[in-house]
Amino acid sequence: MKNKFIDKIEEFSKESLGISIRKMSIANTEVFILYIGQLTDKDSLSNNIIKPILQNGMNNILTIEQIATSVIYVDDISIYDDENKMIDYILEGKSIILMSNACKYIVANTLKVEKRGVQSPEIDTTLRGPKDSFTENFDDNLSLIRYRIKDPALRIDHFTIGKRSRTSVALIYIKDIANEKCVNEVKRRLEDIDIDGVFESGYIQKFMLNNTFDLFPQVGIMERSDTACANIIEGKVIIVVEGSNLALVMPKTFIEFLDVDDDHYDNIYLGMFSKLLRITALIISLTLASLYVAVVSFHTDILPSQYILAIATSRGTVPFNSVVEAMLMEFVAEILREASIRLPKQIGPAIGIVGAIVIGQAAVAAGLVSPLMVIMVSLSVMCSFVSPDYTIVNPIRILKFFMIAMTGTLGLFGFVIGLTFIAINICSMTSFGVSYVAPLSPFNFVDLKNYIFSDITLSKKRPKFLNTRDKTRQ
Amino acid sequence: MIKKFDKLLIICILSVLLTGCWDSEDINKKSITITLGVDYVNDGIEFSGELAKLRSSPSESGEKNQASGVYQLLSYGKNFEESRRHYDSINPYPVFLGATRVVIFGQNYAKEGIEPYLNRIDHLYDYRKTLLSVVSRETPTELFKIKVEKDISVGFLIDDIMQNLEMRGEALYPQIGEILSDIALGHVGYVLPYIGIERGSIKYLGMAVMKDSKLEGTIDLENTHGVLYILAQNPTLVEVIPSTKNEKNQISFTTFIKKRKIKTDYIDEKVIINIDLDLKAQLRYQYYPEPVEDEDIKKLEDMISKKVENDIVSTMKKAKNEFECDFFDFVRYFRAEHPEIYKKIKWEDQFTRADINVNVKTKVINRSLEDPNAKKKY
Repeated sequence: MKNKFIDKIEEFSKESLGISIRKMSIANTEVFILYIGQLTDKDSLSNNIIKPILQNGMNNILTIEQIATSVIYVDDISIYDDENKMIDYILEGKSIILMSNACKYIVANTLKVEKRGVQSPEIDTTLRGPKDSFTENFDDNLSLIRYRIKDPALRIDHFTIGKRSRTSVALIYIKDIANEKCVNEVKRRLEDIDIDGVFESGYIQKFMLNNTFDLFPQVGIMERSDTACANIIEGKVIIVVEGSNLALVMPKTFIEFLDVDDDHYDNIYLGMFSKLLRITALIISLTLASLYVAVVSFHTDILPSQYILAIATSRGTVPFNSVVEAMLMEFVAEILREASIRLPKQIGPAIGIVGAIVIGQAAVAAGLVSPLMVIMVSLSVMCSFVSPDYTIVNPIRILKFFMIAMTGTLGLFGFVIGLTFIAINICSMTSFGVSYVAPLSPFNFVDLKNYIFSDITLSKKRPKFLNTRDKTRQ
Repeated sequence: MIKKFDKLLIICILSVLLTGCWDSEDINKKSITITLGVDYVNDGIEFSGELAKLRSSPSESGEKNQASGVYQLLSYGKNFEESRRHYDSINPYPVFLGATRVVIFGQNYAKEGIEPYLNRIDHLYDYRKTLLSVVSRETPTELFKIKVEKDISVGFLIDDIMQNLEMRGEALYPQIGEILSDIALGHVGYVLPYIGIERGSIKYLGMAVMKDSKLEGTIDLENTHGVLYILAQNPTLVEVIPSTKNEKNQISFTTFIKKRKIKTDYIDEKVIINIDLDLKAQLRYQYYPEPVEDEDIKKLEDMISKKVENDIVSTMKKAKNEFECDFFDFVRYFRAEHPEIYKKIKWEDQFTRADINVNVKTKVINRSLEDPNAKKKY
């Protein structure tokens, strides 16, 4: 007897789909098991499916339902009859069991992919705080969240995105905390995505933006599971993408990009101090080189005489004007930074040596740049490393050059215009309905105080700007 | 996107290109003037001064990040403009006056009147209005010849000396802005620090009294206490008073002003100026330590009061009779208190005839007690 499934098997075997077919003969009929070897846990397949079927089927007449309910040991099984969906299940890493005399088939989950274990974070490093970071494995990532939040209201909505990659994407939130509008908006944007493949959460992140040309990030990335859970409990929405070790969090405002979990775990004063330090560092990183240009080229008078002499003497032999000098050095610093990211770890330190000796010392000794400029650039680069989320520093790296150009053209006046442009841009942005500069505008004293203190004992309420359903923390 | 903003972009680019400060030079491409001396020599103006030396000479090796010294500057002309032209024709870079610390007026020029140069400072945009100006007994060129080892240059030395003295309440630090305000008020004199060379070193000699911006005379360093008690913001002066018991012994006090009240009146067509000073005197030490009783303290308080009173009165007399100029700024008090009368009178005449009453009260505090419970006090 030949049924529609056997035709499918013949069709599969003609095309090189890489599907393995295991044929078994039992008392009354033939049993076929279809799977992809690279995605299947073969031990599980042999011990939990093949072995029980053979043992039970030699002497007994088995139906497909009996096999599903009484014979095989696999936990996750379902019975379907649509032969066209078979290929989808097989490609998802499931095994299909079918009988030549049955009009249904069993889908058993025997998926096993090669993965790395849960490791320490690499970009979201912390001094104090759990070190279990997300990996590329989807289930592991979900389990890291599940074991931290045991709330029955935790919702994990699954999506499959990518026509060809069919990547699993999970939207995670707590139903009675997260703002419904925000959740629906994220869902809508996820459903609207129509691309062929997703290989990193960065792809999804781009579809979450209001405008492709926005300079500042509106979606945060997180590598550590405790940070993700803290955000879920705060009332935010997390997206976990299969194959990506970085989860996405939204909505996220500007000042939240400068917040670190360590601030919340550590002493209140240290938290406040570190926050202040990070904000100052970000401002220094953006403005230091352009302020230098403003002072050296246009408004030297704003400094006391002795400082003027120090600056003038340090620039005594420099042939370039300050704008060219600043642009050049910042550019070199960016090259060094880029090189140090791309280089293998073993030769990474070489870049540091080249940077420090060749670019720093030698350039000063040759009289090409002033020692002060080297200090400024180093400080500026160092300041850019202080921010916990590197995505907020990326626009600063570009805007730094914009600020130098503005200041080099119009002096302090240009500096102020540049800053105003940036401020207008930041203030006019929203992140999923939340003002990007909240809680500074719209101003909310309590939220701002809670942000600065970063102390859970003082933060009785969730931030007002998130407009959560459950507003009370404690 | 570019199409959407093309007009905005063109406006921005054009405005930047057309309005940019393209001719601005970096600070190292300017002649940084640290000190400027102005004197009157052979019926002409002589500018002298110090320019920062930004480049090390070939013989000096190694990196140098401190100003390695100064160049001397000297230029002449019939007037400021001509002198400046001479200056420009011998220097490679445009002059930068934003870092100037002090302007030194030679005695000759000060006698002729410094107002023209003060007005020049007022209207040249890069001069700081917080600049110090001093009058020099010797010509500025002689001052600049002095080899300074205590500071970067002569200008820095003078400015640092005056700042230090002013901070300690021992001298005045009149800024150009304040002097210009005095000049604008009219009928009023002012004092400038008076410096000179003594034993090869630059020294603060006292005060130069300026009337109508012309040097009228000087007050020696020892006699400046009277001026400081009236004009200094926080005068902290050391007074040495002989002990009441032992002639050989001297007691050193530091005096501070607790309260200073200056009130003016106009009675019988005569200006009355009442000065009330409330002083605190801190007993620093005695040359030969001996017990000081409570009555002695009373006597000492009276003696300090008397001494300070005498200092002030003698300076007042000098101002009235010798200089005939109100460099104490009493006119400001009078004008504020009696604006109508002020309009009718001629202050210069009234000041020389004014009755000035000085009343000083002193309280000795902090008697340097080592053991407050000792039977024999002090």
